[in-house]
Amino acid sequence: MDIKQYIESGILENYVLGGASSQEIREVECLSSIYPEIKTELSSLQESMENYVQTLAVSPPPEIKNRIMMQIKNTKNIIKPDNTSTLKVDKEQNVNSGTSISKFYKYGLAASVLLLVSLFAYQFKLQDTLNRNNTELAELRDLKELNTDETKSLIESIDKIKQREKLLASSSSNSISLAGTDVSPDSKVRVVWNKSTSEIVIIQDELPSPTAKTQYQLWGLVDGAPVSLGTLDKTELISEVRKISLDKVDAFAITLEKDGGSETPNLEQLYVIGNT
Amino acid sequence: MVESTTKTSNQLLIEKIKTGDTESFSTLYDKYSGALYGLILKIVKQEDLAQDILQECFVKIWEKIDTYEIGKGSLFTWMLNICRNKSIDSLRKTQRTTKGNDTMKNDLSRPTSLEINPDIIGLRDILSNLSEEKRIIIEYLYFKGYTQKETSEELNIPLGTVKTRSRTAILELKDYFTLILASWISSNI
Repeated sequence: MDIKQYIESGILENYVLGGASSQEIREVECLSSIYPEIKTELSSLQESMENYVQTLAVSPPPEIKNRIMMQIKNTKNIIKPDNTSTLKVDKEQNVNSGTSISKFYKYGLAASVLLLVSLFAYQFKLQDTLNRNNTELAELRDLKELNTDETKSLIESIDKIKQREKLLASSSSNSISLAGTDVSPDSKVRVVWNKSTSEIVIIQDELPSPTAKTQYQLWGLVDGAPVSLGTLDKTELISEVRKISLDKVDAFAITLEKDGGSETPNLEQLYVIGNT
Repeated sequence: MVESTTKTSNQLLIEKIKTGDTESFSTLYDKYSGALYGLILKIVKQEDLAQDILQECFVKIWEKIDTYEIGKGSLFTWMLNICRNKSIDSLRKTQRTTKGNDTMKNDLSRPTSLEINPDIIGLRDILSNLSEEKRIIIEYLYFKGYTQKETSEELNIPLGTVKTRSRTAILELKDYFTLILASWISSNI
């Protein structure tokens, strides 16, 4: 702030002359405690008034002093300090209790304000922490869900692998080799079939990758008639275990069909075939 | 030098009064009662009333000495404020009962019959040098307790002028006392 301008504003003179509003009084007292220049100016103005009032001095009648001295000796129970020491203690306690009450309120008020401010700050902080915790919790939940899904699919995969291993390792399983035809002489596929459980696994040892619009399909030939045993997964070279509803199969064959499979095999696109 | 010794002696005085020392309070009374009584009398203009107020104020000073802090300003100013506030309160009360706009105006024009402290005889001449318009401003603000706005309305002069005059008035007062000090030094050395 511009101290010089403040000093010259006339507010200090108004304060000294007793014309300042209560707000101005607080302002002047506050600023003069902060800025030594203002304090100096204020003291100098007050000194002028002090000096001026000194010129008005009139001696009051002597009995006034007696009246005052009498009265103050009866006020606050104050006793001359050169009396007994016990009385002195009494008096001091009295004085202290008087100030301690006003101090109590003063400090009490200050403490209340401080407490209120800290409560606000604390609440703000709590709210902030709460918000952050909620966000973290939501993130954790998402993560957990993700984990659960991943775990589920992992467990499923493991189950499938175990199933497959069981089938492949079983003594009652037969491995049927499907050899390439003229369409694709190098192709080779095995079908492992467990008759007792009616389960099969298809192993693509050698088979050209199908295009996006085509897909391999497995057929079982029963008494010369083809029965669809489902399409082959485009990426899995060893299929999952799949159930078939046939007790008797003469041969297995794989054809290349349109994506999603067909009802009847396209024999021109017969890739591999093998007798059981 | 004089000032600093006054301040230290006042500090001692205050400390002693705070412990309930009536002897020190008696010293304080001797030192300041004249100025304070003069101020009260100038405001209320009745001797009986002024004496009652003086008594009330000194009792209050005794009771409230604990609330006085040296850092906040001089003891004298603190006491002046107590006396001025009580006197102006009392003045307003009597004015309300005597319905007196007339009394107020008469008061101002009436020459003060107050005796001047013999220690400062001669001062009045110097003070009379303070231009009438500025003296009136101080009169209204300080001794009648008017606000600047009330003063401007009462004297029918712009508020801005009241503000400027009250500022320059105190500044002039300051100069006068420098002058007085100089003349005192020259006459005593």
